[in-house]
Amino acid sequence: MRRLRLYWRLMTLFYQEAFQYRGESFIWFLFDVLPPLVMVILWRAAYEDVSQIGGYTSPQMMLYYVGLTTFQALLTSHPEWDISYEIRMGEFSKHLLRPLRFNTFHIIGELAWKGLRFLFITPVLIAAILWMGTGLFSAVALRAGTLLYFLLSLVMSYILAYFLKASLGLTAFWVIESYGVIILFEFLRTFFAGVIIPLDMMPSPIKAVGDRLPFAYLYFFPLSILQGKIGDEAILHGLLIQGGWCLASYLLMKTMYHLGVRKYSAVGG
Amino acid sequence: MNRYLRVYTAFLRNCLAKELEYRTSFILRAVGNLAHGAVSLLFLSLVFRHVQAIAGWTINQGILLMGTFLLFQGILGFIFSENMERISSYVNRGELDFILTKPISSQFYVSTRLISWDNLPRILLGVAVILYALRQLGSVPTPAQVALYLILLITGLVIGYSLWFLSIIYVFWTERLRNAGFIFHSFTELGRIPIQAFKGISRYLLTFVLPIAFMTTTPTESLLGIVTLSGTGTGLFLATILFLCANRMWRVGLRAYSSASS
Repeated sequence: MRRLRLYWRLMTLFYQEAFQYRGESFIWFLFDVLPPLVMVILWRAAYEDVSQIGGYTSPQMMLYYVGLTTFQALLTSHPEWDISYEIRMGEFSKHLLRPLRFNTFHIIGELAWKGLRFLFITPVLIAAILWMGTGLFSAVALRAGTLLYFLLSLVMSYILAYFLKASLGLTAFWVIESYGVIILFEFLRTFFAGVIIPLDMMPSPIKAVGDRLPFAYLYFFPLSILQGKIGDEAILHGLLIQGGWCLASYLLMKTMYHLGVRKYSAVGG
Repeated sequence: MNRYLRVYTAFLRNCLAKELEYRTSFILRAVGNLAHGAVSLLFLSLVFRHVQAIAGWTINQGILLMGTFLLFQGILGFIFSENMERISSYVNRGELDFILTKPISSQFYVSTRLISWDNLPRILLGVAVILYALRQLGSVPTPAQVALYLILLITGLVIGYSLWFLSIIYVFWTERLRNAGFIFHSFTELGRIPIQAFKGISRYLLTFVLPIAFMTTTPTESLLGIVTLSGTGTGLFLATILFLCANRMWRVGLRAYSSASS
């Protein structure tokens, strides 16, 4: 009970912080929205002459990017910047002293910021529906059964993204300027997660690599369920692999944390 | 003029030395930058596997536009990106004091002091892509077309710089929104789309209000030999107006500047 009160208190504090920087936060949010917007404009121009591209009809393609944008905004956290900053500045010590786990602290913080993002994405979604029309809904192919799988895949997408990004932040224990590592990771993520173009439209060698990486399970997999692109068996198989990646990324983060703390010297702290 | 060139050479050298101090990070950023450009090309080639033309642009014309976009964004990033991200901290921390006392234009200094060398690969990629596209198109531009292209590219860069600078000038009046320096660079992503792909009001806005059209589409059209005189004229006119606005606003801003602490 006391724990819960503590979490709640932390959550409200983070929420206040998020609101204090709502302007900045909105600008970071635009970073997630603008690139898919570019894609959507190009695709819409391309669909003027043909009705189907790479197995996607126009509404399906629009739904793909709208879903992608929403998932990116709500399911992908960015703890790596904070974590690497804390390590570089010696502020990481606070996690070693507080009676609160390092991950709990960051997850609660991330969730609070996501609340703000939720407020931002809502008008974007409304605008998208007004712009693209109700055809957007016709591309949704969820049944009662798959709805549950879909929700489960979303939860695991959040977990997977968090642990991957936390591990990324922890590289700061070894790399002084972690900016470059983060950029490189972001490139791999956008490339293999289907952010640029749906993963199944990639040339098959690239898709084959992508299928073996965790990034495909961030957005492409949930979107495939949403659009009814894969059958029940493939869904269950995918959920299993997604769960495996969650576990693997958790273990990676845990190992890095333990090795890193041993190396950590609290510069300037 | 000569003095500015000397000063800028010193900036270039100094920033390169700084980058080479953290080589790994520099190389990673440069590679990331290059990869970002390569992905844009990949996207284009994937889309064109399935369609003949987008908004009247064929694949090779599209690649030419992409090359121009890479060149444009590369140069803009190379010269300005780090500076635009720093200006708010100059103002909020009172570091501007030291800049104002220097014997060169303060706007020049804050706009050009920091050079992002990691954008260089993207510039080179842009040039390579342009040459490739021209070869595929089988057209050799005339010297006049090349000259016009360069003029229009510089026009686009002036427009880009001025808008970017104007988008952060508010730092003199508020301490909020410290990351707004990033937003404009992201906005230029729209430059990879030919202006003809925009419909209705958005096309008008992106031609005259936030003239992204003149950053990439117009220069590319000059290489294809389809740019109009009125298009060139409008671009030059907008560039002049926006640059004067940027300069004017910097002066207005300086009047509001009151240093910090101490």
